[in-house]
Amino acid sequence: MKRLIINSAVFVVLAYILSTMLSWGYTALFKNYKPDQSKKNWTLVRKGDTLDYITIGSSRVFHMVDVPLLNTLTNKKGLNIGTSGSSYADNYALLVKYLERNKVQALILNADELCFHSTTGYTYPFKDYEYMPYFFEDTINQVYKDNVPKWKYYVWSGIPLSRYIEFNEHYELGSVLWLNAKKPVCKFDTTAGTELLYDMNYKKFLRTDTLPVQKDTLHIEQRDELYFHKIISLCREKGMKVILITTPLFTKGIYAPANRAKFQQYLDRLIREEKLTYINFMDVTSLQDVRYFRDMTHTNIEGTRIYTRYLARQLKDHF
Amino acid sequence: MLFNSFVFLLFFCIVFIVYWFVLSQRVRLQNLFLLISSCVFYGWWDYRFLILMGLSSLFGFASGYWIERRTDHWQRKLILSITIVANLLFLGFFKYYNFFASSFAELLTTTGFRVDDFTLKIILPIGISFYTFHNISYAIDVYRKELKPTGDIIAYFAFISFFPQLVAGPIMKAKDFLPQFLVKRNFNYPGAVQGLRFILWGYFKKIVIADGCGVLADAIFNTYSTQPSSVLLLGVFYFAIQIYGDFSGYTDIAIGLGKLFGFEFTLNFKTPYFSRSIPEFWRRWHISLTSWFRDYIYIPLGGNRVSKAIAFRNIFIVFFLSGLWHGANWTYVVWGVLYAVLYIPSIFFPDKTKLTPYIGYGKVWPSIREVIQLIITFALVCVAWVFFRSASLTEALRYFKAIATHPFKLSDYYFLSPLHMMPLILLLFTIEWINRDKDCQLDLSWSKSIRWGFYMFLIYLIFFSINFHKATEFIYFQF
Repeated sequence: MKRLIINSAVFVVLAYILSTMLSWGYTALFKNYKPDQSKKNWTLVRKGDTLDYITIGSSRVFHMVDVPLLNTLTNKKGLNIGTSGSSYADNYALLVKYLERNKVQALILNADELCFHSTTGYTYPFKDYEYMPYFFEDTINQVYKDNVPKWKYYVWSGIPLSRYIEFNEHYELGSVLWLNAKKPVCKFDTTAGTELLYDMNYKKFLRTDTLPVQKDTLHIEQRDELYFHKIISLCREKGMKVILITTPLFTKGIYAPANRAKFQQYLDRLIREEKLTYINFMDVTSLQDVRYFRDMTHTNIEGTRIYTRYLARQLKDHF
Repeated sequence: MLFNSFVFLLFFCIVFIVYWFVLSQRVRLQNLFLLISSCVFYGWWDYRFLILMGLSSLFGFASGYWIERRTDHWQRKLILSITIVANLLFLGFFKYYNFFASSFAELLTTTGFRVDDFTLKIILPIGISFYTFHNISYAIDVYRKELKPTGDIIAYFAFISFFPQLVAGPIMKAKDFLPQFLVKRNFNYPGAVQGLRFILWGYFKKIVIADGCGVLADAIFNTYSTQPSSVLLLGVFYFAIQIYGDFSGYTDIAIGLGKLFGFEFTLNFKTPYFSRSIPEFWRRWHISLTSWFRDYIYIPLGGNRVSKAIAFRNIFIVFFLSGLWHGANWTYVVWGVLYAVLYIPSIFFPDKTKLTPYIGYGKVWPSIREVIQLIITFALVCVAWVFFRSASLTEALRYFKAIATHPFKLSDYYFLSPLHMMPLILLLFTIEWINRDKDCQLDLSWSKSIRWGFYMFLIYLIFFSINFHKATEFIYFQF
């Protein structure tokens, strides 16, 4: 038994050393090479952009701000870097990485109730697997520390390569070696980053049995608020203007009225504290038409275009 | 609990440490601990099935006791018959009731009778085929006086439920395995090292090879009606590799785990795809099941020391039962019967040349004759796998029809894209070829540094292939 333990220990030490070296190699490789053409990776590898604005947020930005149209209407150059189901922490990590290699004058940031209780609002609010190559960079490391379970954070910190192994489907060495045998599919517009939703079957989500039961309580997660402030601070550091918007929700389905009022009060306080420009679309009654929605939280292509026109008009005063 | 899950790794570490560091001097306590651990392992799926296994084991234990107590030959035979019939009824109810009920209903419908559905909602308990065979084996061995029945019920229960082999074998004969529970186990370094090699190779076969090929085989089998014949052939090839990697991977891990606890299992696979004939294939594929059928069915029926017609009948019965054992579906029955048919040449026109123990015996490369034999055997095995893989006989026949009628395109994207598994399959067979004469394919006679480097390489391949968020099940769990 003693011999087995000694040999196993030697083997583990050697494996540790080798894994450390492999981990360095992996990090160097995957910082610049993203075999998986997700929206996030598409954003992370961009460099040299000089833009008037970028929009960031969850799918409610990714699918609901038609940036090519907005560019035409405002005569500005912008990019949509919103990604589905992403919390402010995720937005912050993405923004940090994006601003390292690109120059932007203004940020259009979405703010709604879902953004402030991300753990219940989204299924995977911080996409930890997306930022693994930057895990040991101070700012990103702090995001991990704040957003993943402690034991996971320590495993990824202490066991080299473990973070790549856990998410091996995203860090396939094979896909690099085989010259990206998987044909990457980008469903979004790769010039401006928007993906429009064509589903016009709006009636299906109005069945009463599918409507979520809304509680009349406002729940704000501290972590989301913290990262909201971090995004604002980051933009200020970079000399960027921040414009806060609230993209439309089909309010009949999603919110209890009392809850909405409470959230609006909360948001107004944040806006005052941070001295932000704010454009609210929640109360634009002409958008509260079921024909413009694909589901309760996303407009369809028709709604998105109408909404983007409103946004363009409002933005003209603020750009 | 799956071998390829994180929770199993944790479970195993705890069991190993307690087994060797706390209980090493006390066999009975070790057995009790193994029994409890096996119950945890099995109960992880569904603890209710523990009751079934417990009742089955209790009956098996009691039947051994009753057989031993009777001196009259006919009474002993009667008890044995009751034991076998009861075990088969037990297995039959859970595994085959719906199959026979629906087949009978279909038969009546075709003859013009209208019958209501009389199938039941029965869940198949995992591993039932394996532990039922262990119980039957015990009763037969005691009846034949090849094994003295044990009075130690804990040892008996531990033998039936021993977690490494509980759900997918190898199927151990009681006379070979039960005595190992009755003696003190000593930790043995070479055995433990070989056990680790078995485990590593087993994980490689399951996670890297079988799971990798499984994705591709599933994709092809699910879309066979639109695929060119080149892709369909590739699909059969990938399934052949998948099922080998999956099942032999499981039993390699089981054998390795057994060795780490001081137990010796029967070898279950011995490079079966290097076989030169169908009989040789069956001497190398699922060896424990084959030898179980040989010892308890084929030889009692007369084996091959009878007329050729009777020998064929015996082979037919064995393969029919083997097919049925695999699952309650006509595809498995046809799969088994097909092997009986493929056995015909070896019964009626036996090859007079003496077959060497393995292909390329004493040489690096095989002879041309051996290569041709190997290719033919593998092709026939692949034909049988189509029945095994298909959901129904109609599907299997449609698959064959598609192979015969669809265009053969080698430049097709769906043909080229899945080829990325080929280097890994080549690695598997290269190592198997090098060590085709050995029990453990990782018993490499290389220098320590190269060996360790190769082990690390395999570990990395496993880690970069495993799905940490959802472990894939082993195919043989359903049997």
